[in-house]
Amino acid sequence: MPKIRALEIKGFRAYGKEVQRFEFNGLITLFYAPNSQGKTSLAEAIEFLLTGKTIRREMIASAKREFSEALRNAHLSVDEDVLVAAEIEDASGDVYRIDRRLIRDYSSRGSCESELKINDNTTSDLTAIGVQLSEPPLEAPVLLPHTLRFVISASPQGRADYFKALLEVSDLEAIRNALFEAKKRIAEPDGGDAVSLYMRCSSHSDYGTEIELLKSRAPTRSTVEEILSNALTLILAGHGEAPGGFDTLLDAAKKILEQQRATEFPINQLQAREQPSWGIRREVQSVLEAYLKAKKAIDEEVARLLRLFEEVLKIPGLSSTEEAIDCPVCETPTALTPERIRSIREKVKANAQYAKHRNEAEQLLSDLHNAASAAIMQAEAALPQAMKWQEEERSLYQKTISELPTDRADSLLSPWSAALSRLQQAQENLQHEAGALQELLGDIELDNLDEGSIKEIYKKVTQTSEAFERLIRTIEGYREVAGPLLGALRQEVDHRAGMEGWQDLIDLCEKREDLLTWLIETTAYRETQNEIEKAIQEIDLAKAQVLDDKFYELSGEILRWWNLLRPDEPTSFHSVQRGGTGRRYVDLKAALGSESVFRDAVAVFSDSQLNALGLAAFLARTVREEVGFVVLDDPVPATDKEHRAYFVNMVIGNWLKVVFK
Amino acid sequence: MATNVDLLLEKLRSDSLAHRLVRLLKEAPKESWAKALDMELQYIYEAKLTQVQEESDAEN
Repeated sequence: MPKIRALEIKGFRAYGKEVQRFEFNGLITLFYAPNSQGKTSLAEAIEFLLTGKTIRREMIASAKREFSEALRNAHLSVDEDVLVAAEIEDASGDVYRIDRRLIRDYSSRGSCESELKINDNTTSDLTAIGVQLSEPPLEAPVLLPHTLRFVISASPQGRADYFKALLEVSDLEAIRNALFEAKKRIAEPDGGDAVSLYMRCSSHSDYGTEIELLKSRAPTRSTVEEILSNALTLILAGHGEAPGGFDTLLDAAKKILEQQRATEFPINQLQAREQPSWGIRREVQSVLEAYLKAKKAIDEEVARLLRLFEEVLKIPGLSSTEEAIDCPVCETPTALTPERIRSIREKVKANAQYAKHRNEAEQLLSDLHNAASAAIMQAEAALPQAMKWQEEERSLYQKTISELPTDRADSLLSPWSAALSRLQQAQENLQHEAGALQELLGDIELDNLDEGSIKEIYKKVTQTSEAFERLIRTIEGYREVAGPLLGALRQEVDHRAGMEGWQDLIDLCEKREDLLTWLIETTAYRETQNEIEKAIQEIDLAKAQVLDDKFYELSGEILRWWNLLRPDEPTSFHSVQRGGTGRRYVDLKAALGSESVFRDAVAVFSDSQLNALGLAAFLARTVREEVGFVVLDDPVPATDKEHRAYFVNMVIGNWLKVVFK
Repeated sequence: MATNVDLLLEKLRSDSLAHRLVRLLKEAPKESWAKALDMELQYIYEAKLTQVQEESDAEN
């Protein structure tokens, strides 16, 4: 066990700029002096040396501001060092010099800062020389009048923390808390749109109760379809006899909803329809240029006689002859020499290349023409029918739209109109570009193709392609803008038709696979959470049992010191017990008289008894933690002369005997 | 000397989830507790998910 052999203090609280040195040679050192002579400052200096702070400030949380500049002697110049140093002998008898220098004093809000050294080497704590601090809040074995009463005056949670730190069971609390926090971190299944639909449907006045059953039933496809079918049957109840089977019910609901909506407002005509796709090949230039190159490579005369050459080359034995033979066409003797036959073969081969490229070029021009026509038709098919509304229809439907709740109509209608105009413009642009491409292609003849016309075709294809892509982007933009308007319109129209919630149920039915997946994940999540919660409860119970065992031991230790401090009193300390799980509450029990009547000590003890209880708990702790020294500042109030005598005669000697065996 | 965690383990049923989780934390350094628990609880959730999925498929 480490022991303090000497102490030096300079500039700390009551101590001035001269270094004050104290040497501790015996088992006990007693400081005796009138008030305001630095006894408490000395005790706090040792606390500062060991912990780098004063617990008084931590404990009086509401008064932190008042501890501003509390450590430096108020009369000391700011240039003077504030220092507490000690010579500490470790268990092997080696002596070390410990220095703690104040770097920054407490401010109204901030903490203090200091530097700690062992034999001139900076360190963060004194464990290297065997000085182990206790768990917070009372870390140092220094008993000051304000810390003496901490056990009694702390909040219930503070008291619970103190005793659990004393019993060194904070690790059990840490295990429990780590598990509790990890349980919260398991991500709840998302489920996406299906969950929002489920939430809305489960609050529907007609079929909500039915949908809510999904959460309490086993998550299977047949259950989901059965419950959704029941909900569909409920909404279809007022619309003739409901057909059997999930798909049939769903189709019937969709059909009736569409019919009802159509009588109120043609919502579908506001929707962009098919997604157009562009089929033009990008390799326009390379195909046409390859054709032009092949065309240049072939002789016109050879092209004219090509069929004849091909027939000649088919004559048996011609390929392998090594001598000149007569021409089979004009019968010129020895006209077909091996060299001439090879030349004819090369010309036929070159022509075959030309034919291939010509075919490709013809196909390309034809494809381009078709794609331009298809682009115009696809654009027509993709756009909302509302673009074709006549003036009369337009004003009728705009009236319905403007009857939406006022704040929504204004904010939805004008962006939609603007998006519709942009769509119109994009379509006209595409029609113009595709028409120009078709016109150009109509004028092109392959035999007259040249570099200039290839460039012109490529330019028109590019312009048409860009116009098409612009149209697709404009359609996407329109969908985004029209979405909220369509939603609001559907709500309004459904409200007028008495079919609110139909669309949500239909959408939920359409997303029933997503719904099933979410229900499976949610069931697994819920069951996992329940299992972990059960494990936490079991840990709480087991932890409480461990606490009980430990509190039993501690109670005996505190009682030993209590009996030395307050022997033969009718009201005495009885035990430390957990309140509930012991996580928030620890109770100090007092025994009243000889009968087994127990009450909370905090409620029934006198001021002097509470003081003795705090002291007994402190001494029990120092024994339990096997500290090598304690510092006691006014452990028994001056007014309590009777018990001062007990303290001197009984407690100190016993403490030394117990600690040093 | 038995540590607090050993004492706690003695009080728990050895085949319980609580015992398994406390033992896991006993064997892991404190700075790795969160990671170790996250992995273990995720494993438990995934095993449960597989079980519920299989039960659902069997019913289907």
